[in-house]
Amino acid sequence: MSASAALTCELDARGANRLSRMRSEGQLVLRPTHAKGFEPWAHHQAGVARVSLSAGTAGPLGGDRLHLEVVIGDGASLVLNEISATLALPGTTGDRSLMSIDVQVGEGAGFIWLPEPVIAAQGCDHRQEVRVRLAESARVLLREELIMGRHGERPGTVAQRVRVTREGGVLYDQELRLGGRHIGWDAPAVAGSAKCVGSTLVVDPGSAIGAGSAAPGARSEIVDDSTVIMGIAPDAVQISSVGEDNLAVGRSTAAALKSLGPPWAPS
Amino acid sequence: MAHGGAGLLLLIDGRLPAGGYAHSGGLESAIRTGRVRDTADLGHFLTGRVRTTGAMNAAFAAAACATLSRSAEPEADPDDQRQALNRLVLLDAELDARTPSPALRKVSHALGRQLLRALRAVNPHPLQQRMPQRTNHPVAFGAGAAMLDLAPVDAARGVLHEAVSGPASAVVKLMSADPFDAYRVIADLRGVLDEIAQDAADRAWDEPRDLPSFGAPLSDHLAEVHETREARLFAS
Repeated sequence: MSASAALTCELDARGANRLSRMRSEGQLVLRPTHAKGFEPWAHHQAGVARVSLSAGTAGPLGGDRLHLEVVIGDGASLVLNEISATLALPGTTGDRSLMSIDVQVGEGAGFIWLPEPVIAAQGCDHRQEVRVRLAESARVLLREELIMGRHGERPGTVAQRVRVTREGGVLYDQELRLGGRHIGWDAPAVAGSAKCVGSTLVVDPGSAIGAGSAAPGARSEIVDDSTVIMGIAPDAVQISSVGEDNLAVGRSTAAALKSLGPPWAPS
Repeated sequence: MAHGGAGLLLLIDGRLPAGGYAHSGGLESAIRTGRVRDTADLGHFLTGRVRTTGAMNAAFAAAACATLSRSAEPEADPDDQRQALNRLVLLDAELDARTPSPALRKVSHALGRQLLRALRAVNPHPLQQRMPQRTNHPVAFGAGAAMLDLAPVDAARGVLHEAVSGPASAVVKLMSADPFDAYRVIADLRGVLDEIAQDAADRAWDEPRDLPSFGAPLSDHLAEVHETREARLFAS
C-alpha cells in the first residue's frame, strides 16, 4: 500500500495559527487534537496548532510506502503527536516498508514533534527517513524512539535516518540501523542490550543550550547511566538515551529536558 | 595513478608519531563500565564499531582520497584543486554533523591535526599548505592517502584497520587478555573489513550529503563518560 499525507500550518492575517492544508490518505490520518501530556516549549505558547497522526490500519507492512510532508510557515507553531505506537510488521512479499517524512520549518516558526515509538516486530524490514529543513530562526524539538521487538520476540530489521539542515548547511545526520540483519547492532559499541533507543533533538536559536564551558566549548552532560546531552551546535543538542523499555527512556529524556531548563522543562 | 601498498603501510604504522597510540576507541570506557569483559566481548564490540562508525569513517576517508586524487598530481589544474579543496571542506562539515558527541569530535579533530602534521614532515606535498585548518581524522587520512598516491579503497582500509587495531592493542593494557586472542579477533574480521572498504570505495564519488551516517549511541555515551574521568590510561 502507498499513501501520502500533507500538513501545512501557517499564520493567518490576524496572526493566528491556521491548518491551511491537512490531507490524509490511506493509513495516514491527520486530525486536529488537544495537548497530550506535557509539551516542551509549546506549553508556554498560546494558540499553538495541534495535530495527531493516527494509523488507519495496522502496519506499516513490508512493501508499504508512506510519505508525510509537513510545512510550518514563518512565525507559525505546530505540535504534531501520534495516537499510538507504530508497529512495523513483515509483509507477504518480503519487501521493505518505507516511511519518509519531509519537514520544512520557516523563520521564527516552532515545531514540536512527539511521535510514539516505532516497534520493530520480528521479521519486519522497515526504513524511516526524516528530512528536516530549518530556517535560521526555526525552533524545533524532534523525538524518536525505536523499540526492539514486542515483548519476548527478536526484533526485525529497522533503519532510521534523520537529517537536519539549517539554511542549507548540515546540522545533524544520523542513521540508526538496528535489529534483524544488522549484524553487531547489539554490540557494546552500538546499542548493547537496550530494548529501546531514543533520541531527542532540540534546536533553540538564540539560546546557548548546546554550548559548554569546557573545551571544545560544546555541552556535554551525563544525565544518568544511559543518557547524555550532547551539544551539536551552540544552540542545539541531542539527548541520547538507551534503556530497558520506552518508559525508562521517556523518564531519562524528561530528566534531560529538565536540565535544559525553560521552555523545554516541565514547569 | 594509485601506487602500491608501501604508502599505506606507512600511513597505518602504529609507530608513526601521529598520536593514534594514545586512543582505545572507546574500549577503556567500555571495560570500565563492564560492557566488555573478555575477548569475545571485544570481538562483538569491534564488529559493532566497524559496521557503524567504522563504515561511515571509511566512506569519508575514501571520498576525501578520491576528491584529492587528481589534485595531488604535480600538473593538476588550479581550478580543479580549488574545487577539490572545497569538496573536502564539505565532507568535513558532513562528518561533523554525523558525530553528535563533542568528545568524539574533539578526538577526531586532534587526530586529524596530528596526522597532517606528521605527514607534512614525512611526505612534503604542495597541497598540504592548502589543506583546511580543521579536519576530522578520516578526512585527513583520505587526504594524506591521496598525497601518497593511494587509491580510495586503501584509505578506507587504513581507517578500518585503525578502528580495530587501536582497541585490540589497547585491550592488553586495560584488562587481563591474551594479545594473540585480541589479534585473532582482527583476523576473524578481515573479510568484513575488506567488504566495508570496497563499499566505501564504490561510493567515494557520491554527493557528500548521501554518504553513510551510521550512528552508534553507546559509542557516543562511552566517549562522553570517558571525557569526565580524572584517571584514565587512554585519551579516548
